[in-house]
Amino acid sequence: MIIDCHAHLGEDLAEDFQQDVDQLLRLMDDASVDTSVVFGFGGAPDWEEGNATVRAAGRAHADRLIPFLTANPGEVPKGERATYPSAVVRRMRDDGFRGIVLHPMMHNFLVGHPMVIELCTLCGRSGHPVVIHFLSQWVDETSAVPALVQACPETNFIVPSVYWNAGGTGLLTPYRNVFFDLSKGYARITVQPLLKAVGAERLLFASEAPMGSPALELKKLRHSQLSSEEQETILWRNASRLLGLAR
Amino acid sequence: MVIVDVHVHLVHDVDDIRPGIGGLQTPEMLLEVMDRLGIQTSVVFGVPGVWDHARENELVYEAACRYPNRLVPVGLVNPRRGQRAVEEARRCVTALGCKAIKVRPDSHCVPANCRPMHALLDECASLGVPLLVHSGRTHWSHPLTIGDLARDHPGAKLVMQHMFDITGKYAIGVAKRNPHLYVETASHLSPFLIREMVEAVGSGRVMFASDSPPLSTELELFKVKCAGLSPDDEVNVLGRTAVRYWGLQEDGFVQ
Repeated sequence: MIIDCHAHLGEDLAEDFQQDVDQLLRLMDDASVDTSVVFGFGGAPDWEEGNATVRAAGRAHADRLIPFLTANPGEVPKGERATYPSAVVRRMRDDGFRGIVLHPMMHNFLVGHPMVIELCTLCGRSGHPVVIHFLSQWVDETSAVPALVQACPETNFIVPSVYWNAGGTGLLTPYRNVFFDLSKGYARITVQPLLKAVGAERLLFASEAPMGSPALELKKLRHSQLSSEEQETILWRNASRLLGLAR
Repeated sequence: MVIVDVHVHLVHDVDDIRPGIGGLQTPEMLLEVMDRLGIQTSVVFGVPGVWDHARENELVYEAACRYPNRLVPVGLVNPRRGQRAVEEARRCVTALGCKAIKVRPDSHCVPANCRPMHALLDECASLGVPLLVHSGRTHWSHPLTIGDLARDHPGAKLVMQHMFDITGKYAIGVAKRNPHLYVETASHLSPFLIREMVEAVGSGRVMFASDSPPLSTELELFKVKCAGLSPDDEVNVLGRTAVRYWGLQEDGFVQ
């Protein structure tokens, strides 16, 4: 069993990436990935178009794809902020999304804002993980996140790009409600230090396709000198528990 | 002395969900600062970082209509919106009278040399207006990335805002290799690198800028005075170069 916790559908004009559902399924098959968590590109021209694509793909391939909703708190009008968090949770329930993705830097909002904290709190209570998608090594982007994860102890957070944001990752290792997705890291200098810092129980296999390759990420994991038990934990057990999948 | 500030944000509303931009700056608040410091004209744009800048651009247009002899309006666009950004740039110039288009790659995590940026610069070139590009320490807005854009558009008008380097002299190299590229001084940390830029490319391509309200106009002016420029170069940097570039009157006013 393999669950890839990070794959994109849609297009990103600025980075010149695009991936449709057939392309993703082929990549998954090539790497023997059973299930992928999918979300749109945060930098898509219209993130709601990405959400529509992801929702449709999740419905068409419910046995293979787990759709996450890209939320952009930065664009919520002031008059709608009181009701936005509950509206997002309701939308996830109604539309079959299993978690949300936040891009604080791309969408230019502060994660310490009360509405963002309320959103993450409600996600935790409803069993929806929150992906905080970092993009750079800027400490100022990540320094507010520890306060957020402390303020929302019932919420499980998933943090990608751990290699590319080593400073932010270091700030987050003490918090047991933070899980790290290993996409685009390195076997020796990403996986092993993280394993030592937080244990296999908080690491998730992920590719970030189409930027990353599921087959290559799998190979990296196999080369990370992990025990079979640790590999199984990272490849699917943690994700299965986080996502509430039956096994 | 003629002083023209080519980098000013108008901030009509402070939103606590956004990173700080130094507080409100209405046109009237800005005019008070300009009058106090002897600045004839400011090149103004809205708040970066929103996904769709249409409303911000309209507020800038309204401000420029109220103070047509003091403010030069510039439209802000988000290149990640692709064709919609190109259309907004066209609307800014043709319907709102904007004299340039600005992008801030860091706000939307857009590499300055990506395809949508090339399309935007093509549009600016066809409209006959400059593209102002924020430069900074990320890979999105690094001077070398802006250099790629400049190299591929030798006929376009391009301004590297901030000429920002705190770890090297890349902006100077890029400006030397691209004679059509102008730079401005806002937020640059070293007055001595301003002098080095002037020595490298001449004061006829370097313009004073404050980046207020996040930064203090008064301190940014003082920074240029600390650069050790010759009197003639200082006159150019503070105003004369901008007068020529923006087509202002010799006395520094718009009209």
